[in-house]
Amino acid sequence: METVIGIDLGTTNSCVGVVEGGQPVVIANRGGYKTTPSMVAITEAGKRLVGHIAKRQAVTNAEHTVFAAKRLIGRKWDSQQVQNAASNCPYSIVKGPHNDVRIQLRGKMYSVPEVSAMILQEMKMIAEDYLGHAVEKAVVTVPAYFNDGQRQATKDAGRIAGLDVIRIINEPTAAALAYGFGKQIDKTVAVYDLGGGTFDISILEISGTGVFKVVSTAGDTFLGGEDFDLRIIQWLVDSFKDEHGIDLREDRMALQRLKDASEKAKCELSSVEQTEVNLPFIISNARNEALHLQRVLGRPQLEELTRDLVERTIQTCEQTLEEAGLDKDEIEDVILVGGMTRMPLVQHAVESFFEREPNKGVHPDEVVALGAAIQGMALTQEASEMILLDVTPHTLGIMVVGGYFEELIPLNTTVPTSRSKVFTTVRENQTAVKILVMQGESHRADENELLGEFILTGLRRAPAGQVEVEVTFEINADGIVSVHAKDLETGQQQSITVTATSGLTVDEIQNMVTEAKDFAVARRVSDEVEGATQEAEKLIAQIEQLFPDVEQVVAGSDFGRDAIEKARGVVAKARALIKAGKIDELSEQIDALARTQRMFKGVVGKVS
Amino acid sequence: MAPRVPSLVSGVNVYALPLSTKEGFVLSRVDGSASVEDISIMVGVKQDELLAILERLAELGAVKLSWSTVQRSVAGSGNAARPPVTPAKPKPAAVPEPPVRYDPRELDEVAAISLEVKKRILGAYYSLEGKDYYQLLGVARDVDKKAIRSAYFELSRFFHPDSQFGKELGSFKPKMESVFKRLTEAYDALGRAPRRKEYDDYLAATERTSVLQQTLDQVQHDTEMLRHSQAPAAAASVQSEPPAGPEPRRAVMPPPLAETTPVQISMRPPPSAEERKAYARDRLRRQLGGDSKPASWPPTAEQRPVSSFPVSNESSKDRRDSAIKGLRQSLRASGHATGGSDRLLAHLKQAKDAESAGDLLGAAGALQSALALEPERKEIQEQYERVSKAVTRSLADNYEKQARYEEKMGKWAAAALSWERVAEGRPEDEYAAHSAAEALLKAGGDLHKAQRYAQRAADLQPSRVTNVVLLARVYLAAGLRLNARRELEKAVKLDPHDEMISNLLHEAR
Repeated sequence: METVIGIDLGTTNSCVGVVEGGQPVVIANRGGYKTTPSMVAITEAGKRLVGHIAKRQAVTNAEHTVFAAKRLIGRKWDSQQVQNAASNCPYSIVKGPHNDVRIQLRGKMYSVPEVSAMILQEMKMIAEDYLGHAVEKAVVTVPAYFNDGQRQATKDAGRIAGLDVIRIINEPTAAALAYGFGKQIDKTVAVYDLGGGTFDISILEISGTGVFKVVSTAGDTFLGGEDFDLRIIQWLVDSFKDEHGIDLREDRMALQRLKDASEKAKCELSSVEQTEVNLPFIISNARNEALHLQRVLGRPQLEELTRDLVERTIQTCEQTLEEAGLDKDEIEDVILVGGMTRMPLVQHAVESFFEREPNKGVHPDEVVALGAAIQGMALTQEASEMILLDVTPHTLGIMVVGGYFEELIPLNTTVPTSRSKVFTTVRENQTAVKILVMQGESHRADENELLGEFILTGLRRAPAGQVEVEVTFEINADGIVSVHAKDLETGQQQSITVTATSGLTVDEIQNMVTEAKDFAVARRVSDEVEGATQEAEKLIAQIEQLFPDVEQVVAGSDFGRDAIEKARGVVAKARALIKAGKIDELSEQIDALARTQRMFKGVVGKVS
Repeated sequence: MAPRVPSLVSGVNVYALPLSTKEGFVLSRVDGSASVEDISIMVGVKQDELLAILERLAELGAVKLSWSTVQRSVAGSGNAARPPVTPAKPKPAAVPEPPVRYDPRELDEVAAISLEVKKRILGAYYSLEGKDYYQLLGVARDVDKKAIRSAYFELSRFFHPDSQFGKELGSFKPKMESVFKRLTEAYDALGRAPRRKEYDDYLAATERTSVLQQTLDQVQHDTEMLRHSQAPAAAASVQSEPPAGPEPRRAVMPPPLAETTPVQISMRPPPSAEERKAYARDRLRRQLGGDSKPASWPPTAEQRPVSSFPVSNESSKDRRDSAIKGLRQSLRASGHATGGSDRLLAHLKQAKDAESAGDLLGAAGALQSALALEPERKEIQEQYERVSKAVTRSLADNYEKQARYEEKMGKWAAAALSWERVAEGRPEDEYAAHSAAEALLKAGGDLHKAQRYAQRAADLQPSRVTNVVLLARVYLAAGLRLNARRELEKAVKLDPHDEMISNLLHEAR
């Protein structure tokens, strides 16, 4: 069976898992960490850094270090969210050619999927190192509230990273899969997922026989741990300004240090009552004197600063329950997911809302990747142990006369599904209709997301309202939306499959795939060089150790001297190749070294 | 050796058990008195196999075997880990195998699934039609929530396309999706107590109204026949012999309806008004109650809706039949009475009795019979009008309940039909007229009708802006922009700030 890895591509951290021998496990990276920061940087030398190393150098390379790219993925340049990010981020966010978002690093433009692909590629590599073989398939998770564009863009990122993303699943759903997997649980559960950048709440029904049915899901793609950090930053900046009259926001390096310190303080306050933010030499004043930032932050104060954010998540929970047609007491367990759920204020709020203590059995940072791996296994397994019945998180419909949005598939509809409606022409002798496929909850079309459009032509010339067109929306099990329009009179049809709305064209993706592959090859080669070098060096050391003994044994014969000369030549050549980094020749030379070593060992062995 | 008699374990929800049809059949024969030998004969299964099946049933907790120790503590949850004794896949309910409704050649289609799986997919797909939600899930109407959930979950495990992920499924995949979609629709309606109650009420209401409606139709039909047979009898009263075998009047026969047959598109002339109407009717009928499209196969079969919004079903048919039987008897009885005036009096008395007993339908029937005898009598005519209006009114109440449910479920075509009936029953009800027009518009139904109802609503409440806007929307949909503009200008006067009106007005210009 082919291995399918599960990747939790998070806003701040990513995690990769796999099912081994029926048991889902999270894979640690080379540094031994189970999560990897979702950060990418380009150094001055043009070197690409991903993960912990990118995070560590962020302070000194803030302008060329991308964090929280997930907040930008699949969004349009002119959206409010992107504009906010553009004004807050130390790295430069620019407009792309298709009204999409590009990130400029060291003079080169990167699309957001490309940046995400670098992280996915890193996760793929971590899995491959652990498994010892190449991995091609993955299940990647996204926030439940991601729209179609964001999902497509995530899929594109997978493709660029050389991964076949066989399914995109929602993070809270993945968490529920990991929670219920193999446990024969028969319950209705709520998953409260407050991560680095997004908040999601999902209600699921789990059957003891391995069926997981999502009942309802909702969320906020712009509410997460980073917003909590921002509150602390704001507080620090304000108090510093009061004291010294200097706005730390204007200094990018200071801002980055503030960001790190705030995140650290927030995490610490989950376990202690009070912490100190200590940033010496944060900035210098007009007289060129260095200024320090030193503040004590208590847990109650942090809670005061962020109470409204937590309140917002509870409101979303309320709305979801209502949509599911469930009472609080019908929820039999509450699962907490995401690093932010370590915050005591969050835990208390959830507990008092659901009137029950949240489940503590799952690891908030790893459970999503585990769930993704489980889904990957379940899909590819011959006799499927479990099946996931997911829902569409947004309403789908088309635009009708007057700029209104006509719903075809309401949100929280279990997929696969299909719905049809009949529409008529509006004008006399109208021979074509334009179908604008949209996604969103507003009754005004312009407030919703445009997924695609197409035109049905060749309609009969007739007075308005006489020609009828049937529009059918279909979502298949893979979450792919397709729309057909049919002239009911002639039976003529037009249809589109909604794809590639990530702002990248097919050609662009292809180019990026090639580029990323080159990069992967380059990296592989360097890995191989390292491996070959180590092996060669090991052999050389062994040979050199044997030289004295061998010389003693064969010194008498010409044949022996020849052999020793030859051996010295082999070692010298290998050393030169190591120095030159010539991997192909070195691999061949290793054979020669191994032969020499065997021969030496044989000679010495015979004597003693 | 004493005969081995298996017995049933009470309180087990057999629908939730993963049984094969054979196992289900065996289970249905276990009654605590039939011995293994008896059952073997009854179901035609050899004793060895039967014993194996019984042991599995015991394992599942469905039966008790006096001679065996195999028992299971918890029954009904269905343990999928245990392989069934028979080679069949676990099935959710012990329903007898439905008759094969598909073309066996469909099994030949190349797909990476076994013949058994293919059969089950095709069998389910072609029997979707006309099933109510309970039938779809294969559960009885009185089962509890857990049973509904586990039936749905078990069926989903099989029919969700992910169960065959990555395999070449050909046309089986969309079929699985169709089945799954309908199962989900059923579960969504039955899985939550409040929604289930609504559906139950709706099912009951449709059954009631359909009994009423059909009885009413039948009364009218019978009366027509009676009138026809009695008219010559009265005319020929001098003759001693009444003519035998009365012929029903032609008009009560269903009018010949131009069937819309598939026509080659390229050869098709512009449709006539009649064709268009027939087409609209056909489409409305097709959409009745459901937005699910019938699949492409069988192309020759009548395109009926795949819907769980039944017009009638078995039990309502039974009740209807008995109601009709009663009516016929009463009609016949009155027909046999001697002397015209006696008969007339008998009918009138019957009508009075029926009405005071609350049986409006009986009263209407009796009055119609009376009218048939004395068609010119004004007071009978008035009485009949009054009673039949009352009948329509009480029907209208039922239809309104139906309509509201259908509307809520987004079944606009069904709702349109129901609202129309409400509006017919209550001609002065502005809300019903408005709703009928709106539902017709949403369902893409007959715009002439929609216009009539919208106009009626607007006439009844000319100051209500929503009525005026609705009328305008109907006109817009029908392409009558001048009329739409006229109405929208009225609407603007009523509410100058509504953005939607100005948008529509822009559209109309």
